[in-house]
Amino acid sequence: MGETSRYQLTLPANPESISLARLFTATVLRTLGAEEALVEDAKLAVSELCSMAIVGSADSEIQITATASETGATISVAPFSHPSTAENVERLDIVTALFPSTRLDEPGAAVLGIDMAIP
Amino acid sequence: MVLQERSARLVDRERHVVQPIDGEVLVGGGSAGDGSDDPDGAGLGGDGQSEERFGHGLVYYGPSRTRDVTPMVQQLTIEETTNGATTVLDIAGEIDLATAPQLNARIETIQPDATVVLDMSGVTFMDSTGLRVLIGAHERSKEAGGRLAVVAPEGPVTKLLSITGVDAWLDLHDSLSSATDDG
Repeated sequence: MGETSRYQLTLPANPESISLARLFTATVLRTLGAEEALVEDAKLAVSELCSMAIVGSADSEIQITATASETGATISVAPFSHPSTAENVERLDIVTALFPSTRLDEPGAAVLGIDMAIP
Repeated sequence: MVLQERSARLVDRERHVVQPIDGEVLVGGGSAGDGSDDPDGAGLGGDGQSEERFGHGLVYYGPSRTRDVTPMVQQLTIEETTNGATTVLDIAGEIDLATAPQLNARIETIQPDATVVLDMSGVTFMDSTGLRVLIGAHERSKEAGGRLAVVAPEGPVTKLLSITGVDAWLDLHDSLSSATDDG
């Protein structure tokens, strides 16, 4: 009970990395037994958060971390800063529409709370 | 590019690559735009250098240095055909921050007052960056008196259009025949 697994991917902060971030997300969630609809939603949310990180931050890397437990999974994308452009506001709106429990954790990572039953 | 080679391995091992190692998995290496390259594929999982370089837990790529040929990053392909007076762009692949400029540039080569169908049946992923391209194209077409239709069967594209409400005002069809017959 309570055992968790943690997966982490660090990528250069450039647009070409975003597809890898999606692939990583999908791979983790499928490995955990997530349904495909959830995988697709998570890919979209991660893509939006990575886009925000690349466009809205000067950091040279983005980091995606997935933490899985027996009850579900969370995925975080860093860096995250509150959106300052209309495009990033829209991106965050999409993320929160898909995952209303999205929150901002220290230090500056947006965390998707994904409720997922693991078989 | 080293990133492509490494992600090719990632794709190839998609079902097996993620292990609960509680460590880091690094792809690409170096900072964005640092121009680093790795022509012989050495690096992560290659000769042990990466483990030393990046620290603990780097068991991700294993000992193999095979150079898989699986394409790692999905490319966006756009093919143009004409159907009478209608220009059809057959779009396939993923549309995101990396590929949306390619789509936008291609659409902009078409006269805005033309009749255009964007057939997105082959699009496997699209995020809001791609959505903005569609919105821009729609607005330019509308202003110029053209017609822009979008073909998207139920899937990732329609999901995004739905949650953003954009589906309500795009000329959206679920098949190419429907889009070309209509109007």
